[in-house]
Amino acid sequence: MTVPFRIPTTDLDYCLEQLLEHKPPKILPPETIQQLCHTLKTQLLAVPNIMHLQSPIAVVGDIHGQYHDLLEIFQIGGAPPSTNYLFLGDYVDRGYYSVETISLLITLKLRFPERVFLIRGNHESRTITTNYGFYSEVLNKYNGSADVWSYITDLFDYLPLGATIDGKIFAAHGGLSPSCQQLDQIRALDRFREIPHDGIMADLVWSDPDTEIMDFKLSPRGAGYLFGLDVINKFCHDNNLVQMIRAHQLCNEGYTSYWNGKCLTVWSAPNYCYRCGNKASVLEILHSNYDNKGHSSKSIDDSDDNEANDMTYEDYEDRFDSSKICLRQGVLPGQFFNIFEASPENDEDTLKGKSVNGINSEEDFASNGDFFSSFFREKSRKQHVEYFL
Amino acid sequence: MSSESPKKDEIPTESVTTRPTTIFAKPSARTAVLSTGDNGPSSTFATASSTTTRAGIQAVHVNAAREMVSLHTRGRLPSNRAIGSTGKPSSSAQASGPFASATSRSTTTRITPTSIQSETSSSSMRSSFPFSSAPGKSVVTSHHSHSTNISVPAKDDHGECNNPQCEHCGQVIIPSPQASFPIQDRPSISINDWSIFTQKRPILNSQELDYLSENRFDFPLPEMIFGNNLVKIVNHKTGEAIEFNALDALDSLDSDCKLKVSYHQEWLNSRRSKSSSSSEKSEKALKENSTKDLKTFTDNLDTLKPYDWTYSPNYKGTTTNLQLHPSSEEIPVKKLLRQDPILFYDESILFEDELGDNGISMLSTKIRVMPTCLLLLCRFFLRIDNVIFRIRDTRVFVDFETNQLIREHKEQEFPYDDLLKKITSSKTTNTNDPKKLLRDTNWVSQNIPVVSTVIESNRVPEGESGQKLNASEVV
Repeated sequence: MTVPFRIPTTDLDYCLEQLLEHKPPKILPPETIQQLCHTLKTQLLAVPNIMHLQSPIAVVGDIHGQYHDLLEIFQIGGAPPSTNYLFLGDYVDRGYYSVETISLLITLKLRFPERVFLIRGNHESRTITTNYGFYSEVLNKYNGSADVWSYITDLFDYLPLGATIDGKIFAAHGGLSPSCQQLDQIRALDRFREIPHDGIMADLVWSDPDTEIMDFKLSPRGAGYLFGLDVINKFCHDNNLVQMIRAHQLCNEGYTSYWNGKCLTVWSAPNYCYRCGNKASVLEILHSNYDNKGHSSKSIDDSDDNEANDMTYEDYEDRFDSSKICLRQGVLPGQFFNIFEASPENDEDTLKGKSVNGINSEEDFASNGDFFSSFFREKSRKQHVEYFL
Repeated sequence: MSSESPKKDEIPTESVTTRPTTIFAKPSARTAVLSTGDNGPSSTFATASSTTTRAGIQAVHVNAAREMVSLHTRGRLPSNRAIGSTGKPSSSAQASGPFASATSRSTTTRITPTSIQSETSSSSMRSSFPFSSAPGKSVVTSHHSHSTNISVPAKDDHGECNNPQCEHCGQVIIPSPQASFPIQDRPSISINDWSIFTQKRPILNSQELDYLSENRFDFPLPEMIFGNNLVKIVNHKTGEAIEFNALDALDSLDSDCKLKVSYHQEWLNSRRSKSSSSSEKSEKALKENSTKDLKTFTDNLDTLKPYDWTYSPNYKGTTTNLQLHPSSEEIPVKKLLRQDPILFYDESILFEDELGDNGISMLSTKIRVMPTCLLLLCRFFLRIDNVIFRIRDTRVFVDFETNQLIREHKEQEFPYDDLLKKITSSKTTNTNDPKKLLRDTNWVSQNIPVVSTVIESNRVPEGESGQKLNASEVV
């Protein structure tokens, strides 16, 4: 089979329509997924391990198959191509719509290659997806065939590992690595492989910041790192950076700021796993001019008390109360966390740990093909009680 | 399951299928979610004209409409249609399934009218019940003749109780929290001398977490802690009480854990080889560079203070005024197998951690209250991928007639690979996706051996009141 190098825009628009304008979203046929993945792979071959991006841009954290909440992000933050998006990974697993979520992101990336950027998270991996739901979901939605899973996980090997925004902000899924002092060491990696257990590539998607410690610490689990303030200060200093943005850790508020904005966590899966009741956020970065007022960008390096005052930035006071938001959210000037809650549409399709579009489809869609009859039959008789022993 | 209604096909679906096509246009109204609170900064991104409004019907309205239609449809359905898709054959004594038989017992069930009101005032989406009880449907008599004193919410409860109830039979069903805010559910029920309370709220926020790590716990806490969730059983007369909550469970952890993730050795080796070869270089680098090289950090790396990162609690509940004695009297399974109506049901998670994607560690509770007894299950489930399975179940049984409370604590453990072999070697299971079963706690608990069982009761064993009976150990 010959696969064309480019997919016509009209075809991509048709894919978007299938996913966005049907309820529940229509999954794309395996051949289409194969072609989309193949085309995107050829494009990603030319992309460096760390992408160079410019503000303004909206940074999105973990989504984990919560398709309706992804649509919610486009509702509140504006949809591509009107807004630039950087997604920090963990698109699949746990939620009930991993297939739809990753299909939509792949299609959007192909449709708007200069507006949508995807990097790799620890769930963009073969072993993890077999343990945490994506593999099972593909089997459920594609009649027991794992082909789509292998197309998509092959594509994951091509995703870049990080990004810089205006050359000042470093974004990755997890955190820093003790084996990596320079961004160039990441740039030199051979990333086209499964995420290993060890080394820079693993640490980038796995490690976490910790305000209680200094240096790197081993996790008591026996693998993985935690890193402290001196590590990130050193890394930023050596690479001329002001900040690191990452995802990977659930937080009730939807975001966490460490060390007065030196490191930020963005979490974009509200009511995680449909039961945590947490909020979620998208980090909007409007600009990265920190030195207009004569303050050098390094002023945030130290944790002085007057540091918060340095963050006020008069240019944007007209737009929004920059100083207040900086203090409240612990972000740098020109940034804010756009906070949102779970889309009400989650309730509609989520039925006691099962998705109407997924696991139940075997019984309901195969039998009569009518989504609404299944809705009326199942929804009205939600089984809350169980004679457990 | 002849639950198909001919009316369903007539429902006009066209009107609701219109998924708003303007998802990619920028709806100005939704930007109100912004926490900044003033003129939306996201407008800086908007290049498209923001005057477009969302076409079509709002999903919320569609839901309400669907719910109304489904209520009508249900009213027209034959009253004895079976419940649930599990399709258990109804026994002759309970002609229309386990739930519908409650109709006849409504004489013994006194429900305060206020709680029925609270059902109607709650959103229509919450009023879906897993059963359909038909008014006037006569079912055979119930098998308990004494009168049970039931009240909802519990007699001395002043919290908000949103238990939705069936208007016909007074059944109480507790829904899971909705994906909207604020999520809080605090239902309760009293039966005879006993009251049952449960509370559900979102995971702890960063303030609560900071407070806990400063004042109570000196180890990193699980990823998700539902620290405000609890289930509590109280006897008003005697003051006996048992409660299950996450924080007390976390207090009961061992101080260390020998288990490591599957690739620990591999990881350790590669790290050692690297650090030994790089130690000389980094020393040089330190002399050459006045600035501290990052690599020096790695040489004297040590782990955090050890703690039980699997979060395996040694927790059997928090008790007050409850004297428990070792007992040989097991929880009466026969009584629990009887499908008495469930007056109160709730399940919640106390804490959960994904062990850095190396498996899962989860503590959860389930409770069901029947007219004569209740069963509570507090289950700890641990799966470390390619290493081990561990289950620690605490069951509490209360008999409302005799006021006896039985607590059973059972521990199970099994190597991961052995259980995986069990699946792949058996022909009946779906070998296409063997790991799916490994995520099913019920299946795992039925397929791994029991390590120990301890049974206790609030009754002093008869005839042996003087001497202490050893806890019965079962292999």
